[in-house]
Amino acid sequence: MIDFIGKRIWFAGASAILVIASLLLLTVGPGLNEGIDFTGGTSTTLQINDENVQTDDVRTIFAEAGFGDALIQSTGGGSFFIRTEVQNEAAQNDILAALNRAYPEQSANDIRPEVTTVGKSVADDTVSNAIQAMVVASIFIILFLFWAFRAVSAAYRYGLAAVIALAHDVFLTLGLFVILGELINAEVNASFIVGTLTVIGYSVNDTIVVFDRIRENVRLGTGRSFRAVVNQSLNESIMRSLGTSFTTAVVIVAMLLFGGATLRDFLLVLLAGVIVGTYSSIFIAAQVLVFWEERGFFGRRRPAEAS
Amino acid sequence: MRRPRRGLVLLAILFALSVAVLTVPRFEIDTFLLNLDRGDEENLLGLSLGLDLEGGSHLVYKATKEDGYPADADDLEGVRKILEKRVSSFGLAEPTIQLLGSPADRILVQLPGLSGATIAVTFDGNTVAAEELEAFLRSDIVGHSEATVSVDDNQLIAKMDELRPALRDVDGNVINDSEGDTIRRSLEDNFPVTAVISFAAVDPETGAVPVVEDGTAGDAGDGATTDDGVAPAPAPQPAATPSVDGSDLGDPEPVQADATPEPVEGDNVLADAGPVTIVPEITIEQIQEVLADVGVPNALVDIVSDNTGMAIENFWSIELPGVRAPELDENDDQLPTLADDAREALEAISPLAVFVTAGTIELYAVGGGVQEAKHLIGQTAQLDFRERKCGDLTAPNLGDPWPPDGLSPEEWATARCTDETYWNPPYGGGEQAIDIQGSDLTDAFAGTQPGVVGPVVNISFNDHGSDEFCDVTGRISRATNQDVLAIYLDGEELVAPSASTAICNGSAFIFGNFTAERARTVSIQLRSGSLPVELELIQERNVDATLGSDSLKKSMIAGVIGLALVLAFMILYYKVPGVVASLALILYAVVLLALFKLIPITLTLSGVAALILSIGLAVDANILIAERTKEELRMGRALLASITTGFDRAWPSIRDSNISTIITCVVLFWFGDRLGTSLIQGFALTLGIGVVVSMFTAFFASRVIMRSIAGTGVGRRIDSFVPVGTVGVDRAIGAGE
Repeated sequence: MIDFIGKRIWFAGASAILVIASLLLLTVGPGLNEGIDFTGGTSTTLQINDENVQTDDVRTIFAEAGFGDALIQSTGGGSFFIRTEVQNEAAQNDILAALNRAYPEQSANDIRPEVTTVGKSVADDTVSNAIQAMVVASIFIILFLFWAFRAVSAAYRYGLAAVIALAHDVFLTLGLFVILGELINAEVNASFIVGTLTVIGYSVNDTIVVFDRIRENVRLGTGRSFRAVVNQSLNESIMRSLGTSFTTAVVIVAMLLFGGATLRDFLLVLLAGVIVGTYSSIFIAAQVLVFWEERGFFGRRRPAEAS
Repeated sequence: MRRPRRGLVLLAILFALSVAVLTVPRFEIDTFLLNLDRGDEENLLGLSLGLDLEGGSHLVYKATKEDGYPADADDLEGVRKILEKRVSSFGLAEPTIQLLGSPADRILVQLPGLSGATIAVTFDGNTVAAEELEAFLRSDIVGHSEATVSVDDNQLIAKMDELRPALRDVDGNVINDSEGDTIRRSLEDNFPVTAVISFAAVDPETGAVPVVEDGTAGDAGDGATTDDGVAPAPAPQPAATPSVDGSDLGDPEPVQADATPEPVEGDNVLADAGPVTIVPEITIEQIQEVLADVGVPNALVDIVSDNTGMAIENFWSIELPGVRAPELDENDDQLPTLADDAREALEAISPLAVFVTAGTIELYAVGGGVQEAKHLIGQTAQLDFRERKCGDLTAPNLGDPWPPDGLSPEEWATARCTDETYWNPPYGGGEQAIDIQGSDLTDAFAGTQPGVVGPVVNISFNDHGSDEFCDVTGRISRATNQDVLAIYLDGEELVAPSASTAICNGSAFIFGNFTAERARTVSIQLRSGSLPVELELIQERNVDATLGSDSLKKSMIAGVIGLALVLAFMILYYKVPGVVASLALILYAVVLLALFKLIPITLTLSGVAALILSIGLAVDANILIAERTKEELRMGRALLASITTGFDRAWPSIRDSNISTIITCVVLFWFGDRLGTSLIQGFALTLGIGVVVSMFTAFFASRVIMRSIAGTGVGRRIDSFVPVGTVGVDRAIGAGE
């Protein structure tokens, strides 16, 4: 039997470092690469069937239309991704006209920009609503766990421990996305919110399976210490945790490899969430329960005897 | 052992039903209990697909009143009705228009499959075949090699890639015409209009046109349009022209200048046509010269032959390329077209008995393209008031059969004011704009009035509107013709009440057979037309149709690969329970898709993602069960008992973990609307249903299948019921401690 509890200082330390690193990345560091769903604006995907078109050519056209600070990325083969402030219809037409003037040999179908616009007010609403949704979902999950574990003593601990694991997962995922934003320009957008919320669901789902095992073993009442019961539960449920994570990850990786670019960022969130969620169920959520039982939430109580 | 068998039968029925639902592309059930019409033949398995998979545009508008106040729910309802009309007149795929938020403050317009344009053309006299138009659009002149043209009810419908929109400057003035307009002009240039003319004989003394006996010229209209010989000839044939060599006819100037027949020509003509009438001799060259002067330098002019191939005297056909549909000046009067100019110039040579044009573009409409759609949606609603003179009550000339067209007097009483054919000039009717603007209408609301049966629409005007309304109701009530005041919204008639007295106090009510719903609709529409609501586009997403179907295809392939990998892992690692899990998983996928089709749920890209995630969760339940069963077996229990206990032990964690997922789904769905994107709602709904179905298949289906297998010979090999590498299956508890 693996002694998960004995090595918890290592895992707790690693997690603490990662969470702090994520927080630093989010606040002091570069922060999330916010897409137009968060900032408001217009994104344009442009395909010009001319290999010689340079980013600067596109920049000139957008600058002439009054978008000198456009963010322009070349994605190769004459295709570009451009982010600007919100473009109104007139501005869009100006840009289209300028493109047609600049590349007269291309018909309207060769230059067919895909335009997505999100107003500033919508973007603000999206962010505040996303945060609200997370908070509300967390509250309901705590309440549900409190109810589901009502037969066990100190049932509220299970709900709070699950939410601590959940917060851990969310922060690590966000931190990972700061890095991905720098490395591969992964943007956070509406589907990122969906992904994060799914991670919450998955994280809790996984934690509950572990807690369920603890609940069952506590009820059996073998007279062993809580620490031993938790450790036994973790050993019993680890194969299931790994099996489930593995199969879910397999599906996500298959989607990442074969599923086209549209869902890439979303799937990356999910994949990170599944991995981190599995880890936190075992090494965070269950450990919080043990720590709480032995030393109190703030660690003031005297350590109990280990079995 | 009877229970699992019954369960198996149930599962088989469920599976068969689901497969049936999925394989029939579309089905309609219409009984008094059930009214179902589900499925879409065009899509995979008949599922309904969201914009991100099918391609299209997703537009969210915020409505603001002109005075800056946010529009209330009633205003939005009015705007929604207007948009519905505008977008459906756009004539492409079915749009979805819905109000967002509670209370509603935004309008969502979803236009599927908009990444392409449609041009509808009708030629006067149907002179252009679909193949001709298609060849033209694909030619270098237009350059849309992908265009396809079909015929629909006398209209030619051309489908092609998106057209360049018009270029406008900051004030909205057109700098550069849209590609649709350019195509229209090149159509007009390249599909010649055929004019058929005949020159009349003229009495030299009176200048009057005598009755022509052979009927060719006198019955000109019919002759010209029904005669097959009217079709344009490939080349002029000067030899067939009656040979008159008036040496002075070569000079274009006098022809243009003189409005009366040249006396010079008279000599020649007199000899041919006898003493009573003079037919001016006209040559092809002469006609060509006249036409060149009005701007048609290379007109093809030909004689017209009768059925026997004999040339009809003084009957000509000319091809006039570049005749455009009449344009309107600032007073909405038609400006003369090239054909009108040609007619006038030819009349200068000699009176014309016939001048008929065929092949002009009667209708030309461009639809499609996001920009076009946005332009259409973004307009402020236009309310028009027009005084409508109805068709004559009594016969205009004594003795005419009246009412016309065999209508009964009762039918005429209605039709004369409601049927557009009859309230127009041929029947003595007509419309005239009144100087009441939408902004003159201060309010409109549904209500009742004492002494009036049924709901009415109350309206009130500002001072200016009140004065004009007073004038027009006065005119209508005094006229003996029982005319009406027609109110149009965006060019479509809303209501056309009559008036029995002049109404001058600025408020009135409209009554007559309104249902409560209709009265409310009319008042909302009047109000939305009176209150110009500005629509601001606050969110826009366009997905190219090919990109959408590409995403779907790729996601499907990825899903199948992922599922296959999962099944392979399950079977290889968990053996018999893995096989059971695989069967349950396949059942799960089939039942879930069938449910999507039945409910129906629109499958979006995020829905596909949820679907795949739910596969993971469905597998999870099976893994939990398999692990628990393994533990029971290790404790030395019998196989069947282990399976039963395994399921029972696994149930609380399956239940609780899935409930937490469902809670998340509910919260997501609840916030999804406010998050301004249907993406999240689709995801939450799909995942939620997926989780519920997976609980059923994992628990019920897996159990039934597992017990059935355990009851067979396989059940004697305990080690095929535990995962690879499990030790101590037959040993007692405590082996692992």
